[in-house]
Amino acid sequence: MSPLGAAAVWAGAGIAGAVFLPALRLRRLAALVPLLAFVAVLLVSVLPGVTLPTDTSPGAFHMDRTTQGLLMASAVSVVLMLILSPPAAGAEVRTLGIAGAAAVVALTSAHPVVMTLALLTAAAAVALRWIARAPGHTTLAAGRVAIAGGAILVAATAFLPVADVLAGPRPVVASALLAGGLATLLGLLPVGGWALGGMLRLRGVEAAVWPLVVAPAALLVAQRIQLILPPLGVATFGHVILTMGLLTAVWHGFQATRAAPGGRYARVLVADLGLAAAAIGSGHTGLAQAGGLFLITCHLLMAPVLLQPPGQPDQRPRRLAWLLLSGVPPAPSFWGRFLLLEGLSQVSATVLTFTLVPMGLLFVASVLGARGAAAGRVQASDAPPARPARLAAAWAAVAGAVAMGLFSTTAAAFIFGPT
Amino acid sequence: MGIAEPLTSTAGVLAAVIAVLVDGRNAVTIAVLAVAAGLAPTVAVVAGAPAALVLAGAALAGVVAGHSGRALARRLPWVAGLDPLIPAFSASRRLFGPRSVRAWGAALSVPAASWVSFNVPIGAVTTVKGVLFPVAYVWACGAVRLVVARTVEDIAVGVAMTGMGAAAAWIARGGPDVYSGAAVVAVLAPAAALTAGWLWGRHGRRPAPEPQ
Repeated sequence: MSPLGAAAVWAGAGIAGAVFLPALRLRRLAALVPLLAFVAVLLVSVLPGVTLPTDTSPGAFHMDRTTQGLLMASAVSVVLMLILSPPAAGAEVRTLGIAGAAAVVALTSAHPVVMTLALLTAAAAVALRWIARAPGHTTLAAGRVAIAGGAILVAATAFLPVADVLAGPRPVVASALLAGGLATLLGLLPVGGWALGGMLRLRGVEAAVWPLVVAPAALLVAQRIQLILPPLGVATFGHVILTMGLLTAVWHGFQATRAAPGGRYARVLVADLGLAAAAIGSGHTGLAQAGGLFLITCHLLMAPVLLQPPGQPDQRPRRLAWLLLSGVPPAPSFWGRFLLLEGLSQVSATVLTFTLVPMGLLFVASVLGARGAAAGRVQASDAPPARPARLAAAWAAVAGAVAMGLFSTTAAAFIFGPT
Repeated sequence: MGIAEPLTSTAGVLAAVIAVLVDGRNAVTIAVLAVAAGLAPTVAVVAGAPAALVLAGAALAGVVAGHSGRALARRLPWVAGLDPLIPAFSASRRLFGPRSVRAWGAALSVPAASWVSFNVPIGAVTTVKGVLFPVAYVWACGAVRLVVARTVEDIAVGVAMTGMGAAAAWIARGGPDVYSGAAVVAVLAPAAALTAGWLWGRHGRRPAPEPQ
C-alpha cells in the first residue's frame, strides 16, 4: 500500500464512522476507525532514508520506518483513547480521521507545499471542531493561532529551496518562518496558550486530536526540516525553537505544579513538548530525535489515561501513569528526558539550567498528580465500577509504558526501527 | 510597452484592503475575487499572462465552492450548526471594532511587505527581487485577519487571502513545479469558501416546527 492509500483509509474510515456508527447505534465501536488506520499504515511499503520536502512533484510520497512507527503509535493511542472515553460523537471520529490522514500526508510527502498544506489541514480540522464543540475565546484562539501557524509554514515554502543560499536574508527569513510555524503548531507560540486553552476547555476524546495526532507529526517534521536548511538557516531555526521551547517548558512546568488536578496533565504534556522542541534547537539532531520520539511515545501511551476527567472509578492506572511521567528511572519519561538533557547540556550552562528547572518541576507535578489520583480514589469509591474493556485498556497503556521503560533500547528499535 | 510597477502594486494593495475589511456572509467570495483581480497583473508581469489563470481558476473555484457548500448544507437535515458570523467573545458591532483593528494591521503591514519585497530574493532557479510587494502585502493582510479574527468567517477569509498570496509567491518563485505547487496552494481559497459556505448553510437552516 502507498502512504496516500493509508491516508485515504484514515480519512475514509473517519468519515464513514462519523456517518454510520451513530446511525447504527454503534458509537462504542469508534475504536475500529484508528484500528483500520493502524493496519493500513502497517501495510505501507517502507523505504530506507528520511523523507525530506525536496521533491518537485506534489505526488511524491515515501514512508520511512521512523515515520511508520510514530504513525502506528499515534493510531494505537487513539484506539486506547476511544476505548477509555465515553462513546465519541460522530464529529469527533470525523475530525480524528481527517487529522490522521493529514498527519500521514505531512510526514510522507516529499513536496514542501503538500507537507505544509497537510499540517494546515490538520490544524484547521482541530480548530473547527474545538470551536464548534465549545465556542469561546480559548477555542477561537486555536483557530487563529494554529491556522496562522499553518499559513506561515505554507508561506515559507515559497522561499525554498535554500540549501545552496549561504548568506543574505533569504535563509534567515525561510528558517524563521518554518520555526515560527512549527512552534505554533507544537503549541509553543504563544507559550502554549492555544493548545492548553483547548485541552482545558474540552475533555477526553474531544481534546485528543491535537496531542495524539497533530503534535507528534509536527514534532517529527520539526526534527527533520533542519536537514534542508543551510548553516545560517539552521542557526536561525535553532535559536527560535530553542528559546520558545525552553520558555514554554519552564512556564508550564511551573504552572503544572500549581494546576488543578484536571488541568495538570495538559501542562505537563506542553512542557515536555517544549523540552523536545528545545532539543531540536540544540543542534544535536540524533539526541533530539531519539529523546523527543521516546518522550512523545510515552505521552501517547499515558495521554489516553490522563486526559480523562478526574474521578474515574479505578484510579490505580492513573496513579501509575503519573509515576511513569515523573522522570525517575526506570520510567520511560526518564530515558526521553535524559537524552534531551544530554543534547541541551552541550549548548551552554544557561541552557542546561533552563532545562533542569522544568525537569525538576515536572517531577514535582507528577508526584502531585499521583497524590491527587490517590485522593481521587477515595472520592470515586461511590462511582459505578469501570467497564472491563476500559480497565483493560488503561492497564494495557500503563503496561506498555512500563515495558518501554524497562527495555528502552528494544522498545525504541521495535517502534521506530533500528537507528 | 511594459506595465508600470506602481500600478500593479496599487492594484494589489487595493485588493488586500478590500479583502481585509470585508464582512458578511459573502466575505470569503468577495475577498477571493478581489485578491485574484489585484494580484493577476503582478503575476502576469512576473511569469506571463497564463500564470494569472491559476489565480483566476482559484477565484472561480472559490465562488462555486462557496455557493455549492451553502446549497448542499441547506439540503441536509437540520442540526445545531456553528454560525460562522457570530463573534466568539465580543460584541459584533461597536465603535472601533474589528474593522479598525484590521485597518491598523493593514497599515502596519505596508513596511513589513516592503522590506520583504526589496530585501528577500525569491526563486527556485533564478532569483527576483523588488516585485513581490503586492504579493507580500496580501499575505501579510491575510495573516493580520487571521490573528485578530473574532469569527470563523474571519478565519476563512484569512486562510483564503494567505492561500492566494502564497500561490502568487509560488508563481513568482518559478522552478519546474511552479504551476503544480501554485495550484496546490491556491486550493486553500476554494476550501475556505466551501467551509464558510457549508457552515453558513448549516446554520441558516431552521428546525422543522414541532407537530402540535
